[in-house]
Amino acid sequence: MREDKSCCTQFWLRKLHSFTGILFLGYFLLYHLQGELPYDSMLSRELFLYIPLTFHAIYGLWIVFEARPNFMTFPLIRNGMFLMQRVTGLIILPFVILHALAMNHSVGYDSEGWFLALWYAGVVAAVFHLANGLFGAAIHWGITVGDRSQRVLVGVAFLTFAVLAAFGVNTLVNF
Amino acid sequence: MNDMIRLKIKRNDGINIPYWEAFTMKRTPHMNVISCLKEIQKNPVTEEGKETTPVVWDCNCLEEVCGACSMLINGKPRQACTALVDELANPITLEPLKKFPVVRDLMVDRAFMFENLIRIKGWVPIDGTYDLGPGPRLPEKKRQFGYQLSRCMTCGCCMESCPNVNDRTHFMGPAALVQALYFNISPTGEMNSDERLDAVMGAGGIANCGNAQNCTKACPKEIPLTKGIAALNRATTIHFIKSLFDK
Repeated sequence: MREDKSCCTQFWLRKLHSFTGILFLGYFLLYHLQGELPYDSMLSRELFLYIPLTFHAIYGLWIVFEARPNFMTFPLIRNGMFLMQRVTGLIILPFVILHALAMNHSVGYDSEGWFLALWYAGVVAAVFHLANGLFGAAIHWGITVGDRSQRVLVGVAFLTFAVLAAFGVNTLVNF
Repeated sequence: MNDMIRLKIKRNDGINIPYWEAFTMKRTPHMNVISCLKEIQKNPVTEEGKETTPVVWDCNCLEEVCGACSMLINGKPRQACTALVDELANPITLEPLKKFPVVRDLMVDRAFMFENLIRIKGWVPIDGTYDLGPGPRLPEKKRQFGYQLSRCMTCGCCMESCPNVNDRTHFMGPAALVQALYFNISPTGEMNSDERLDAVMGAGGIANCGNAQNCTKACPKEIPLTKGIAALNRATTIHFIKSLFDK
């Protein structure tokens, strides 16, 4: 009866995208904002961080490519969040790469100027991306359906952003 | 000064690249954009006095239930019939919807939307060899929600406002998605709900929704589109997990 066999590919890839984002990357970020690394063995790092991160990044780039943002024509709050989710994603990706390289001492870490500014921007962007991702994922998985439950999630997302951003910036200041 | 109306209209004759033409006319009481266009039709002369072809547009019911006269009026997608001149900023700019192929001037081809209604099987199959009798009654709450969804007139405003309805995604858009929900909540339509959910989960389906939520704001019929899509998200998630284990 199905029109094409490959019909659900995008569907489950999207689900996997939000799943990896919240469960693996969200968990990692919570930990890492305190300046710590949660995984000791190489295997657990591969399984719970590198693989989900790579998938999330590549599929995320595809999602960014697919959208044609129209915030200028439709300046609405959620439309702005839609744009910001994509913008922050594009900030996080180079930041994470640079961050990993700097921690490996492949790139010299410079604690001043634009390098430090990028660090702050990366942390805040990552926190925003996670917080707003919570709101999006709750809808994508069909958890929040009604207006009221979605509004509650907006509050949850905002609190998450405020608390985690404060945490992350505090860690950076003391770094 | 306020006796005159100025219209800036994006012309598309199918040969030249689209260009702008401006028209002025006398303001009469209770004018809407359609009656302005009819004034131009009577005397197709631009404000510079150049004779031109009458502007082509699409319209039908003139009471905002058919969806045919959707266009960008001062940049916003809406119906020309309910765009009252007294409530619009002057000059009034008119452009065709940008998400659909332009037939001529302000007239677009919304066939994509109707094809998507076919894809999601937006009907209740009742053909058979004998009379199936009356369908079951709906609970009142469901009926009211269904009625809200049933007001969709396939006008295209939601498509126009959606950042993910574009040439890259081939996203079917909020209208078709929510029509799948409309048929799935009725007791007779529910009998084929799996087929509709399969279509909704398919290419260009619900996975392309990025939750920008412009559609709800753009819908002239105030259909709770984001709520409908969220309800479909729940239905498809359950359907997807179930179907993994039913195979």
